[in-house]
Amino acid sequence: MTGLLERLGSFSLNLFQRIGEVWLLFVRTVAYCRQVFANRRLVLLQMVEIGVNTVPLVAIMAFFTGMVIAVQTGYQAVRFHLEGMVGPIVGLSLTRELGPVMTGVIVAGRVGAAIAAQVGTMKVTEQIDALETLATDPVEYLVMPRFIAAIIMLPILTVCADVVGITGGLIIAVTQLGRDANLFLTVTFRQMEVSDVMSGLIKSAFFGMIVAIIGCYQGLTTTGGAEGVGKSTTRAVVLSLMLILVSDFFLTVLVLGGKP
Amino acid sequence: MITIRGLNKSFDGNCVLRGVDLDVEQGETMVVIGRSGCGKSVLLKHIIGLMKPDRGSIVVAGREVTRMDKRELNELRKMFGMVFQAAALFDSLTVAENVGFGLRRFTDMTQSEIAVKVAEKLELVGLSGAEPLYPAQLSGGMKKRAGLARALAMDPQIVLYDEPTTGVDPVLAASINELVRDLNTRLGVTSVVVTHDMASANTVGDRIAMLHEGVIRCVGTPEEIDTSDDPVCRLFVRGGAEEPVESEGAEHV
Repeated sequence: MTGLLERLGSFSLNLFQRIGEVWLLFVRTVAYCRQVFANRRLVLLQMVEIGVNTVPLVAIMAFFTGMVIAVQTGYQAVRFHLEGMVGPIVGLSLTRELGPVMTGVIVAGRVGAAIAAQVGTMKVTEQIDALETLATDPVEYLVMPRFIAAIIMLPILTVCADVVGITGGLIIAVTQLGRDANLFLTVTFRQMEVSDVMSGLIKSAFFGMIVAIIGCYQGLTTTGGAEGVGKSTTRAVVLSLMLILVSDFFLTVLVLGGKP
Repeated sequence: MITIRGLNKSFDGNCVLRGVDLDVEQGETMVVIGRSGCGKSVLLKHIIGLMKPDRGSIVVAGREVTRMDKRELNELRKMFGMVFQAAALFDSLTVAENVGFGLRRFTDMTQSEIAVKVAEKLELVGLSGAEPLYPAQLSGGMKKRAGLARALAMDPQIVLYDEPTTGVDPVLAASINELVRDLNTRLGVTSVVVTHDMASANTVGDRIAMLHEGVIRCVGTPEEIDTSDDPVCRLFVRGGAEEPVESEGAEHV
């Protein structure tokens, strides 16, 4: 019984310590954001890495997701003669929910892992120490550019996902359900509001913060060589995915304010 | 220049430094010797503020390092250069970008002025023409020399060397020793060299300090260390294979 309590206490202490450390890293990163102009080259490099290089993956995911939603809803809609609703369903589910969440998930897997591996390798090979001896704070040089780039690029990637996903839905509606393309798009955009797109973009910016901060935190706390880098990478992906899914619920409630 | 008093550091209950006292005068080269894992690199990292001690003080150029915040530490670090055991070059940057890192961030020099200075430092370490190469394209010895060039790029007043001659061939080791010596005599740079290479220690050191079981066991000129009566020191200097008979306390020769 005592052993169990000890383990529980130790686990809780460890958990709160880590939450505190992540929060501290977040605060320090935000404080360094005023140095963004001085580090613009690093930010641009990260925008290419996080954003531009992820576009193909996001586009493929969104295209097939849009098609799947159209096939599934079309199958049901035909039974109730509601084929006209396929477009709005594809559009709204992508812009409000699937676009930002699936983009966040892909970026967490691709970019979060890369950030943790890169920063973790720098930690175990003393490159982080070398940065510090050169009077450079790793938070300013490594974390802040990734943080800014992720916040800017995630919404842009989400817009890509929305556009490509709706295109996928359109192709299915036209080829499988015999809908007119112009009518599909007109009905889709008529049912969508700016707030639907904006809520998705706000969520995706938040997911960008999560991926960058968790990836960098795991990297900066890496110990123990190649094995440690592997563990940090796994932890960064798992934790980012969990936080994206959990925060998605709360953000949805917060952004929509309970609006159906 | 550097005054260390009562420095203590433990990792997970394992006490590595148990009250280190050491003085490094301005312009001298102090070599810290000791067995592998005795805490030499830990001591070096404390001097530049990469680690916080559990107890004790480190005063560099009249300023207490252990109580400095990040900003003060970064200001202090501009007077330092540090050569890492495995060079610790930034993988994603070329040799020129590595060497010119501090110059780009902290000086108003133009690109061409930085290029000239980088070329000058690379020539100093015998690495001319390596500017466009990435660390992955360099041999171990070349990495070490590039790391040395990076440490010297900002013309530091104090240079810390972590095992500068480990893993390099004897010819290169001799040239690194000569360079350390030359920086000291020509530019008056204060150096702290951590090594277990006695040949290197005797060549570059004005004084040698032996770190053993978390304390400075003995300090003296290379000649004094070579003729020391301390059994631990004698065993290390002469390369014996057995554990020495322990004597009471630290002995300063």
